[in-house]
Amino acid sequence: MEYLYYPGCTLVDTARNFDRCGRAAARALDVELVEMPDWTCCGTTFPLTNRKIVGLVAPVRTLVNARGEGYEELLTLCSFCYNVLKRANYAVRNRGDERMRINAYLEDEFVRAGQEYDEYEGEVEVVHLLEVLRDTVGFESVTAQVTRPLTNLKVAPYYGCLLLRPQSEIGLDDADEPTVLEDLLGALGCDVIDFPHRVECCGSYLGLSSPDIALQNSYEIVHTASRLGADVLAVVCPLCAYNLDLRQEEMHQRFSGFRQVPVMYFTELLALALEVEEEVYSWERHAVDPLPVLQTVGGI
Amino acid sequence: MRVKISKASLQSGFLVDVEEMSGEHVWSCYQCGNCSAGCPLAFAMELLPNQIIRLLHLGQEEEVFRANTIWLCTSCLTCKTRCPRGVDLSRINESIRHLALRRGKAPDRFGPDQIEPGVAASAPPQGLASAFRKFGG
Amino acid sequence: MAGIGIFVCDCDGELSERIDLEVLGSRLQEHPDVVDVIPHPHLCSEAGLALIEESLAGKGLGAVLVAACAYDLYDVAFRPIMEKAELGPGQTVNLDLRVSSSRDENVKARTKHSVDRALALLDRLELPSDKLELVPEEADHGVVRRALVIGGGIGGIQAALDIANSGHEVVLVERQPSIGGHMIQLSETFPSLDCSQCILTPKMAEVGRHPKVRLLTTSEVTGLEGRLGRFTAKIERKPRYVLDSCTACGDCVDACPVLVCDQFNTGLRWRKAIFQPFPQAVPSIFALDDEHCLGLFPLACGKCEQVCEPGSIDYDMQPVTEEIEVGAVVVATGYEMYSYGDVSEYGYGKYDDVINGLQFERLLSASGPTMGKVMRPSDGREPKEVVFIQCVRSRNPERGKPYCSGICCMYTAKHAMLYKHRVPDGQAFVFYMDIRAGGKGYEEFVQRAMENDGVMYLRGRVSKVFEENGRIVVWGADTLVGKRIEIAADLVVLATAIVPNDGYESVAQVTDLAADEHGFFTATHGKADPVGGSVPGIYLVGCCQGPTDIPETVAQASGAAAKVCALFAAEPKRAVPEPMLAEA
Repeated sequence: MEYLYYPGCTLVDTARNFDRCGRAAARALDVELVEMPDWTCCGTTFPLTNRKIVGLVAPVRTLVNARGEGYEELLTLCSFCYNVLKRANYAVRNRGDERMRINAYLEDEFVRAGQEYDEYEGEVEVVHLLEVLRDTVGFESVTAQVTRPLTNLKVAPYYGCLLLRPQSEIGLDDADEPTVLEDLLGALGCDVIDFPHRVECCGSYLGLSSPDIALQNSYEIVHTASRLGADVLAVVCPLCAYNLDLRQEEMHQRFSGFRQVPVMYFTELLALALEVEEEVYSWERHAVDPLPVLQTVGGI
Repeated sequence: MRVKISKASLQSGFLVDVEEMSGEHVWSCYQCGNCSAGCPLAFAMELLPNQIIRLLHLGQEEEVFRANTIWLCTSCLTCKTRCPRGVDLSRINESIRHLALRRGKAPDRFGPDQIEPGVAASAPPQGLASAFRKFGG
Repeated sequence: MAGIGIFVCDCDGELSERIDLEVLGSRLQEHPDVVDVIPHPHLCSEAGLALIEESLAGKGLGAVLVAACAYDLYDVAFRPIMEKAELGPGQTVNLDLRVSSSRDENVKARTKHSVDRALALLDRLELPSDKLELVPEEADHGVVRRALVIGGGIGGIQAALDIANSGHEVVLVERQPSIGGHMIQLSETFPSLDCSQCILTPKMAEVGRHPKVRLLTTSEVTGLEGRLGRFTAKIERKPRYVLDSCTACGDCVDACPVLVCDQFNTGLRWRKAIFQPFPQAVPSIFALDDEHCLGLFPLACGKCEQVCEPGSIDYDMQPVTEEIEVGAVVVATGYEMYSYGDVSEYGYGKYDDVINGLQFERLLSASGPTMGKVMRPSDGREPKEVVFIQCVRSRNPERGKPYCSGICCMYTAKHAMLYKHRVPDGQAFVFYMDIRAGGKGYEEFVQRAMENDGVMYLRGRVSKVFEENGRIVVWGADTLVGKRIEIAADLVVLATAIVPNDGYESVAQVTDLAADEHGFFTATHGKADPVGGSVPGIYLVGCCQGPTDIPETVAQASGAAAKVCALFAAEPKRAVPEPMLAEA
């Protein structure tokens, strides 16, 4: 099967390992990710006030271009892209006023560029690799294709916020009791722990604007995973990885008794379990090196 | 100091603006505190999320602007997910942020110049873009 | 043949604001027995009454449906005219348009609902040609002096006793193998802390051996035809597989190899497939749970039959349906707790030590799974810190029920108090939004819990509950001081919303009773006739019509019984008060 793939800005920059492992692992499972040509920014945040229609331009333009590529679905990996594209699509589908205004804007833009424009009504479906693995490939099939089960690796699954909320518009899983990540990690053979902080916010962009406050918040999350004996914290979003992984050195300096925990994208664990041997891993991108624990516990 | 309230203060333009911009019914809130109980950033907030709504009820615009609360909301929607009255606080906070920026009540408007050099080098682009959008208006 | 005439009142424009009366009229006109639909702006005025009188005489109507604002108005304003035209209770019926339009949000839905209600009522009308032959002793006014009571909880038991003690026959139908309902599961009752079983057991015994009461357990009402004064109820008696000769010796229980989750003990204990739900059960004979018994399949087991000395086991027992004539029906089908699968942020159903209020009652009960000792379901340890959370899915239109469940403020105060009595060195915490203690002695009771028993009340909701290191961590708020609260508890008790018993749908279908969007049956008139159901001759008691506590349920039961007895005592031509007339 084949999907039109939207990587987004961070997956071609600081989160290249998230992207490459995702593409390679998908290929190993017979899922081809075809990168959308000339993609532009998703907008990063969904506009939350009624007057701010401009925030919808970037994501809806992306969806219109995806439609132009002739695909019914647009696949993403980054939680920000997934959330913004999916919410923008929901707004177009369900809010007539916003649909009208955004289409008027984009029509003007396309016509000026000498291109044809049909009103966009939300025809493209935004999907996340996790739901393709769950609903199309199937976790049983994933297990069947795992050649190196990650047995004995204690993994704390961490969802963050944007992958799940708002549930009424995203609908990937239950916002309070999600299971998709646990089920995938279980399918890879991991020892998945009941991680109470899995749907808390990592601190998001406060990591940049209020780094001190964000650090206290992300410390709570990592420290809890650490106390519960996690070998690895599995994440879905590059900003979560930034707040939870890159800042562990500061946590270490600031909070006594803190034990570091490697943070890994779920695609990295997937690629390892499928024994993807290509040059996709780039371990140097991790602030806390996962290799030691992978070697001792995960047998890698 | 007593907070003087009256018919006029209850119909204050600020509350009307926030409701209009956010599309949320501020009066749906019955002050159960669920949002504050679950907010991951509340530990650093000068006013709890439910107190922001109560101050809106009371028309205390300046106090709402003065607190750091709206600038610490990451729109993570934990509150909305569990709110028994279906109030989306992320929309209310975003509306107040916009009003603060427009009315010059946000002295520390966040921009590239405020970012620490080390952070800028290692931060994911999505984080930079979203922070500028959220806090730069 | 004379047909049905329908009068539709607009209540001076008030009803047409809520319902499309033209659509209602034209839909009813399509009914084969309806000869005329006559609208009027205010039927209860002199002009309206004159119109009815004229139409009855002129059109020779055989039966009448009046669609107007309230049922009690029918009695005062319209009944004299009907009686003058020699139309009896079987030929006239009233549709309360205010009630039938109360549950839906838009005009279209309200109109559809009203049409459905009207069509159901039309089917209950008897046109003169198919009038029943009355048996001689009942012919005086056509009322069968026997009542059907559906539901054997405190409400049904009280109603049955009051009617039976007035000398009338009662058929009491209960789905479970024993009567007792939820009240028999409770430990002690607020605000007097009387033992629940001590109050209820004598009443159960009295109703069980009352010469005027026929008790049908493991039975359900599957049909109800007819009208006020003369209903025919179809009752399905499910097989119990144990004969009345059972001496309740318990040998079969020792022999039975099948363990089943014990619902009477809210899942906190196991029982056998052959069982007595609790020692004071009425009737005391055992019952066999055919979902789990192995012996129903030939040769599979049969152990209980082998040890039963009186030979009371009959694996071949079949369901029996019988028809019983009754003059009135009392519905007391009660409540159940909100389903736990839907309270995910509190870990209900995930963590053993997060339980609901009814489960805590069983933990407190001297005859419960722990003999009244408070223990954690996970490891049996005595909890030293217990958090009670009120309004779980109540007052929560977004994720649960918008209504207040009514009983939780008081039972939570009682739980916290009883917990302190059982575990004096323990600490109880209560998260609340408002304390609703409106009954007699209720406020004082809550104050006592705070002052004498040191229960700590925290004003705020809880956002999240999770387990860490064997303790249940609660994240709540205290909005009075604007602080977030964290408590590491040993046990968390959720006061979950109460919802109508899941049998309400079949009862609604069988009886044509109107229910609101939550499934609570709607009273004819919340103030003037709070126990009257939307079908004449059917009365509502207890939680089937909304959350009610024990005293209120008992009062309603006695009220409904009085209504039933008044009906049974009525003369053919009832004295009616002077009609109340609207200004024309």
